[in-house]
Amino acid sequence: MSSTPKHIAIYGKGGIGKSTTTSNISAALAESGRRVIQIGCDPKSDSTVILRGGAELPTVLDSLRDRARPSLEQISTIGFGGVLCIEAGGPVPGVGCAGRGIAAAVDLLDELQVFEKFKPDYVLYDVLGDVVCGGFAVPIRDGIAESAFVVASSDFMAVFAANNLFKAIDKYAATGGARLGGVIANSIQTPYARELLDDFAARTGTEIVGYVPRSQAVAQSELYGQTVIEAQPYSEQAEIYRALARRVVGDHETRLPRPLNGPELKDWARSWGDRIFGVERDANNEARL
Amino acid sequence: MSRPLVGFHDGCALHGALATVAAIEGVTPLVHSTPGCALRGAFATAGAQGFRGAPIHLSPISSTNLAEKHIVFGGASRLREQIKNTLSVLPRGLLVVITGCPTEMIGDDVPAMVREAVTQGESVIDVGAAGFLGSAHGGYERVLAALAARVDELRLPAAPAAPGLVNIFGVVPRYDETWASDLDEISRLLAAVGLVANPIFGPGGGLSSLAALPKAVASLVLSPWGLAPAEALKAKAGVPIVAVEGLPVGADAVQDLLRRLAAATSLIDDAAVERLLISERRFEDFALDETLLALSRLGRRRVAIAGNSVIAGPIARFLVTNLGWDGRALVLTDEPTGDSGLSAFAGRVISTADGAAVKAAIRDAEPDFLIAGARYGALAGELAIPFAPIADLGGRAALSGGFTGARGVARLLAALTAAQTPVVETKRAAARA
Ligand code: SF4
Repeated sequence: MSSTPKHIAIYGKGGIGKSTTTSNISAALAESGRRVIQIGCDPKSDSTVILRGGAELPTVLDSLRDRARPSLEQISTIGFGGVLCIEAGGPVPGVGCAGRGIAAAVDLLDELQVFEKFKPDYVLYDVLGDVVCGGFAVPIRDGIAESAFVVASSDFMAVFAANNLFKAIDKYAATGGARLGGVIANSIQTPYARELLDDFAARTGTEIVGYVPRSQAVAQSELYGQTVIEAQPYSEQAEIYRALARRVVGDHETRLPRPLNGPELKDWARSWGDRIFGVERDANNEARL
Repeated sequence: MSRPLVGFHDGCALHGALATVAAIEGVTPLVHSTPGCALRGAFATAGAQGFRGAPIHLSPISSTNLAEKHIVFGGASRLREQIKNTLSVLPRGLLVVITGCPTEMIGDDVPAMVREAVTQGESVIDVGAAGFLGSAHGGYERVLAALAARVDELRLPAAPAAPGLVNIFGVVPRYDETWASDLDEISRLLAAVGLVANPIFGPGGGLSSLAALPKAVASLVLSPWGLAPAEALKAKAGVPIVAVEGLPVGADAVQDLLRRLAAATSLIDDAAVERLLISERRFEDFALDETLLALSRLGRRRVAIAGNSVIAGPIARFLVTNLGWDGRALVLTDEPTGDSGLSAFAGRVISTADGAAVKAAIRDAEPDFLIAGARYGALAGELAIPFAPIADLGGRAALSGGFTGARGVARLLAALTAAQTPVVETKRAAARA
């Protein structure tokens, strides 16, 4: 592989499945012989938990508490397939500034020369996407990550978070920030979910790079503290993640999204409300007949 | 497009709060912020604009000096520690925790830390004074409003009864440069008519003056910055508010102030007022007589005045009504809000703390006499007009430079008649010498 690693940021609203998705992408890449670093940028510090089988991992910011400069070994652990797992960490909810924490952690990793030492092919940042302050935009700023992906479901709040990320990407693009790789459609279950996300992507001038169906395999693997790639390597879901991983790191067109403004987003949501609940109403009526 | 302020006249709210707290004897400030906040505050104590060089020691102000870990994880426990440490080395009294920008931004739960110390029997209060909340004058307002509103939570020793006590609000220590001298003269004037001033700051103030705040018969508000604490006391203890437009410069202004105070309180002795006004007028007339020749040589001037509202407005009023000068521009460098009601005394009234904007306003007014801080001497030289400095004078101005009452007029006349046109040092002239 080339000597300069490819940095990719994966954003998503809390609870949307971005850590599961990112970890499975990392696992798929590692499985095919790539050197991968996954950096969790979420104060919850559980991004890499299914890569490392639940092993304890002190966070980067924990080391800030005692002001001593930590070694790379102290703040990282090797997970499935040799993935280097790092958690930025952060304050407990309600105190301090998690946004500054992300910025401080990224600075510290830079000082520790993590990338020079580990020589990864890929660095994946798993970033909490519903926090809107500047700190959480650090991975897509200043040329850190070259492309960003957003994990979304058909849930309106997930779409809202994606739209916000698009705004941030537009803002920083002019000064060398990341470009948008595309949207990862997650937990696709109902027939309309896919259509809704397709429509959102079309309106914002973006692309869906993969559809990940909701699956038993994910839930089962997580119960064992593993990715699907590790626990059920021959499953259909594992194949889906492998395809997604190829797409995410492959050469593809990156672009500048066209986020919807407030009223546009509201109108769009309403029109989908009418469609979805219209469908349900019709179904109910049919059932009654 | 916005542009940076040049030659800013005020500090940030934290620095105003710090200067305010430090001027009350028995009260200790504790800065809860990053190190530069208290450090810059310490420079500022050398006089409003007196700081010129780098310090060789750390600031003597108690500060939590937050590091990055406190920003990320919260600085509340650092504050708890610093409250404890401060109380262990400094004399008891009142501790005022002043929070700066970083802690206000990350939302440290400062009140909880303060409550904790209070439950342990300490006397502590917190005031939010992040620089982004306003200027130094705004910081003064925040501190005094908090002290006034929460005075009975402060566990202060009970104040002795003080009939005829009048709280003085609106003069900001250090940032209104002649503060100590002006507060002293106001106190003297009130004493002459049977009232007792509560100046809060300086030798006439101190910890006990805080406990006395709600017991006053009136709150005298000398600038808009003093209104918030006066209103807090009115709401809390029914202390009536007497608001005047700045310090009383000259006997007429003293008369007006006493008339308004008398209307609000029934404690003023009319005969004493008469006696005081007679002596004030005699003093003022004497000063005018003594400087008459020099004043007539100056003639009727087109004057531009730049300074804080507590003093610049009253000087303009005196020059226009008593000397018949032509007020061309009045620049209020503390940026008071609301209508100053001063347009009768100057062609233009401008409110700006930006030194470059102050200069532009002075030039635009095409004055032939300038009254402003010493830093504007060079501008007067450039315009080739006489210049009387009323600020940036260093420590002595605080003690003896005030403009209150007839004695203040005497100092003003002395400054006017001593005014000279500053010589512009051009490079070539300097090279020739
Ligand atoms: S502006 Fe804010 S950060 Fe700067 S000195 Fe004032 S309080 Fe501190």
